[in-house]
Amino acid sequence: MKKNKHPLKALSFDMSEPSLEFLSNREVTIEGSKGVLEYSDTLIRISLKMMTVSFVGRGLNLKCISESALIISGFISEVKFTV
Amino acid sequence: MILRILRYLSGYVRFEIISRFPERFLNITSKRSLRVWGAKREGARLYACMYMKDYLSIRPVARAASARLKITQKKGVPVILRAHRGRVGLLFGAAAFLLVIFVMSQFILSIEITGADRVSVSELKEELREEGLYVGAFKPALDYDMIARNMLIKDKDLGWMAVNVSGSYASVELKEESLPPPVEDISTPCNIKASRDGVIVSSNIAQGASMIEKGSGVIKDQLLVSGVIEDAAGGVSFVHASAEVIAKTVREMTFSLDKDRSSLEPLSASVSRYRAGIFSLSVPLSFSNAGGEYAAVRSEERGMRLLDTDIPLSVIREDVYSFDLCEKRFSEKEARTFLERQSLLYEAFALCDCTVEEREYDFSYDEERCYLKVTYHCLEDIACQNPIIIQKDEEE
Repeated sequence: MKKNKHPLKALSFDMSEPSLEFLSNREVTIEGSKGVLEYSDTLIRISLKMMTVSFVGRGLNLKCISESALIISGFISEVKFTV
Repeated sequence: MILRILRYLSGYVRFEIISRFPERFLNITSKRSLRVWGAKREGARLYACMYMKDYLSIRPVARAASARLKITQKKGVPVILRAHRGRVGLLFGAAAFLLVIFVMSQFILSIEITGADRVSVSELKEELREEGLYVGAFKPALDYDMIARNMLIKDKDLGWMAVNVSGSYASVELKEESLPPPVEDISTPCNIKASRDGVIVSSNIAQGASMIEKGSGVIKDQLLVSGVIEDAAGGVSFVHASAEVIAKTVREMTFSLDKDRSSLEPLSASVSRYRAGIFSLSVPLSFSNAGGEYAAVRSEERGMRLLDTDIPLSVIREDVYSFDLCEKRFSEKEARTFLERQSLLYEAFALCDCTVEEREYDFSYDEERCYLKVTYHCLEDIACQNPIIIQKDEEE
């Protein structure tokens, strides 16, 4: 059996890839964002490294925006990745 | 919550972005590290919040994004300060308030002593004052451990003491020294002698040989109970005689009074005046005076409490009684009443160990003075312990 050389490798994060963290379907934190492509209260489209991600729902808000991260809050009913 | 407080302290604006593509504006601001939050789309309009200092520098950003910006709301401490910049008094008032709070917190405002049962609290407060702990004392100058140590050295009635200060409130906790009970000497050989002349009414002998009978008269220093006991074989032993011997005794006392006397006579009803106590200061609130050459003042202090804590504010009420010195000549009747009162006082204090069964009054007077001779017939314990000194023969 092949042994894993780095014991914490399974726990380490690849910071070069974008990450999405959901809090139920009410809030999502996106890190590694490249910009907001579309913004309305029913659809928010975010550009990531190699794809775009769309959040469909109602009452969607950009709670906080910084250089590479943003927080979307509202009732998210659908998430779509376009590669 | 902390983020909200920080935003409020720094000051922020809520503004409207008027553009065909407001997303461009958001992207450019995020690229330039300008913090934007609370973005909300309402129909064709987009609203967002930004720090006030950041907003001042986004005009080029808005131009690049072909957007027009319109402030809808300003919030935060800088906005409030700018709105009240003309009101200097308000600023000074707030500064003075903070200064007073800071200065007052540097002083002891209240002292509470717990655990004092036998020791007088007022005496303790006086001793603590000598050590520097009092209402109004400057806190940074106090060494609480040293105060407690000095108090324990000074006051032998204290077994343990701690001074705890919480804010401006000093709590002095103490434990009193537990004293050993007095040990009665029951081993030294002694006799019981009479302390006064009298007639024996009853005797209760715990130890020793009785030398008296009920109804017999005794004189002072007469042996009542002997501590020397002889047994049947002729041997002698010495014991610590102990007994209660009740006898009828007679005491005489003469009281006298000059007929011409100067006395202080009250002038009229008392006058009340008030003072305000602030820390150790006492500020008069009224200046009423009853007049008269002599005056006696009875004062009553009412301290104030706030949330079960003493505060260094009090109201002191003073009742002033004024007197004038009057020369007066007593009549025989007045003098007798006065002397009888004096005799009752003597009885209450000097004859407190006796039961006075009967009093005989003999009143007399001459030109200058009046006399009252009182004969008290008392019942009292006349037993008085007298140690037996045993001298050993040197030749033995």
